[in-house]
Amino acid sequence: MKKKESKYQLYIKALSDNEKRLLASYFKRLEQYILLPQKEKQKMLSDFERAILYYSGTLLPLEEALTRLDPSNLGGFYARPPILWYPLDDAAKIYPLSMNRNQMAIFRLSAYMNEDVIPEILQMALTFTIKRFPYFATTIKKGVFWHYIDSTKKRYSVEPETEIPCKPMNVSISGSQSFRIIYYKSRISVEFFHILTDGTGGTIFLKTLIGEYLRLCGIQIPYVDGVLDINSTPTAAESSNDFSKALPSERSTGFADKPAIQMSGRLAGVRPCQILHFEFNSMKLQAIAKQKGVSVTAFILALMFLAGKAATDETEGSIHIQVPVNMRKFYESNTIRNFSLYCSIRMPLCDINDLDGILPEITKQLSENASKKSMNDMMNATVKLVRILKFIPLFIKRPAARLVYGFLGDKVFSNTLSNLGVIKIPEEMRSYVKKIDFVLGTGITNRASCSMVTLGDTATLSITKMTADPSFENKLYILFKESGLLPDVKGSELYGY
Amino acid sequence: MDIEIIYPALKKPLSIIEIVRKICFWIFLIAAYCCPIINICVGGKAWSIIVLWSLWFVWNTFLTRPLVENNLISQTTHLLLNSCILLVLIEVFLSSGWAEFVVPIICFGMLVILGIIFFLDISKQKQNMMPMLWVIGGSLVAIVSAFLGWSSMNWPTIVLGSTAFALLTASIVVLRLQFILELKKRFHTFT
Repeated sequence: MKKKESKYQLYIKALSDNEKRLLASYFKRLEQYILLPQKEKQKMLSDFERAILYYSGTLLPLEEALTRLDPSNLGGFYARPPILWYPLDDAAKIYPLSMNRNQMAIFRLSAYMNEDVIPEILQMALTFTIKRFPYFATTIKKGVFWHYIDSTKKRYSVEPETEIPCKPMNVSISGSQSFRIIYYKSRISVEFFHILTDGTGGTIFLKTLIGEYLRLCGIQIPYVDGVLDINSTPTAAESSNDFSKALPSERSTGFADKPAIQMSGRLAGVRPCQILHFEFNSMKLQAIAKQKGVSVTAFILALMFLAGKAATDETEGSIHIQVPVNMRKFYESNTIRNFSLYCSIRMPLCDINDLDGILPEITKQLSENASKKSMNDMMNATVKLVRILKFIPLFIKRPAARLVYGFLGDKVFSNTLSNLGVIKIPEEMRSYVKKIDFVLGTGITNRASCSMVTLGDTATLSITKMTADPSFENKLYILFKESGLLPDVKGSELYGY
Repeated sequence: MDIEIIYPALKKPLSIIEIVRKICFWIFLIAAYCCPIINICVGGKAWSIIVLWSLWFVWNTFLTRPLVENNLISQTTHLLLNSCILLVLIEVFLSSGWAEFVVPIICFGMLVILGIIFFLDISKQKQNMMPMLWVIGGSLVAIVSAFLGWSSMNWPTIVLGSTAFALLTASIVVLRLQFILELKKRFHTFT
């Protein structure tokens, strides 16, 4: 740190008088925008210095560097006291109730850039971007009846990747954040505690962050396709709890179900114990699914059922796969917070024999269980449950929820497939972002969770593993190969082995 | 199936705290199992209840951290609550006649500490003040019940009640509308 400061001092000394004056007036103006405690303010000013140093290393004229780092991009975010707070949306309420030290609902979205990430610029991009997402700049707090998120004004920082993906976060300290920005080589990852948002909201944040990162690199990205203008004002609709949009329905489905079969591998001590990414050509994947007369999700689900059967020693019972459903498909919504529910696709083990045999049943269940009517019933059930529980104090709700979540939330499923679909990014961004992947955090007993996302020609199926047993992914790989898709397999080493 | 490694190798941290936690967990579990059995077999006063609570107290205070809101005010409040319960248990099961003096004195001391923590960094601690308000509330209930004759009136209770009232008044005067906002957040039931 000292070394860098001295570098900065040397840099200032080398400037012309005119440039020195320019820089001094820039920092004077900058300080007006940062009214944080002294320690935080100093860290933030150092971030600006590091960014200016980086620009000087690229021979960018000082004037241009200062224009890119214009303090007006900070808005009033760091100058105003934290007064905003947000109740958790209906889907998020369960997460703080059910979490424990080793298990938190976390997901990760990563973008692979065409060059190694510049940490100094990424830090500045986050500093400018976070103000556009005030509901992410928050700390979780305990109310008497429900948790809520309370705004926190501080320097939000990026970190190099050194830990396991989707590792539980320490959200307990005053001012702690419920998301992480991590970089490794050319990868920028955003990890969210699910209380803040779902995959769709996370994608908007990631795209906006990358848009700002590229702008700071000198590439102008238009504010389209989910890239938000960081200087526009956040709207109330973005932070609204849209579960209230549930249409009245006569029946509301319950959350209880029969326990599902679990894969047989021993649960690993370190969770997740491995992350795997199967990368395909999205056109080819779509063509094969089309040839079978089904959607990509149904096709992948069918392979997961077959691979799941190969990964269990059980001979009776059924495999249930949880499929999150984006409610924005059914309801007009601009929320960036959680607005997704899930449906279950079930298949008895004895019926899981060959791909073509199970595809019609999966397609049928998908169209029925993920229909607007079914999801509306579930939304009603969620809203009703929240209403019933609203006057029960948190200290009673919490142990009950942990018990119920452990029983309902995980044991009733064998696996998960969360398909974010095709991510749209502006054409101008396309040549700088090679691919995106999406990783789910771990469950309690489920040995694997799958997630999928497509960007351009690349579809990436990610597997979060909780067991070292490789049966599931090996079978999946063979099935993909047999279907005519040869995936590129990337991932992590086995952690804890 | 060949896997191209695209994640950094994990630097395995040697977490001493985690090791201590695991060792303590098993020691505490064995103690929690043995003590009631010994107590029942040997007979006499129910000292094992105090052991059980003490184990929980040490585990809860020093070996685990709360998952939400782990700050000085909440930790001090937990410490106070657990200590008071321990003292009451000792009074009930071992020797009686002193807790009604000792507990208010300890509460008073803790309330003063909470007040210092709160007012020293009010801009940060105002978002953490709820546990302190619970202690203030509890202290006011204690003095009111003493006034009503439900519990004995003694000087520690009077000191505790007046300190709690002073702290509450000072918080309201300093925070004004933010005090109301803080209560609104904490008691919200809407979504």
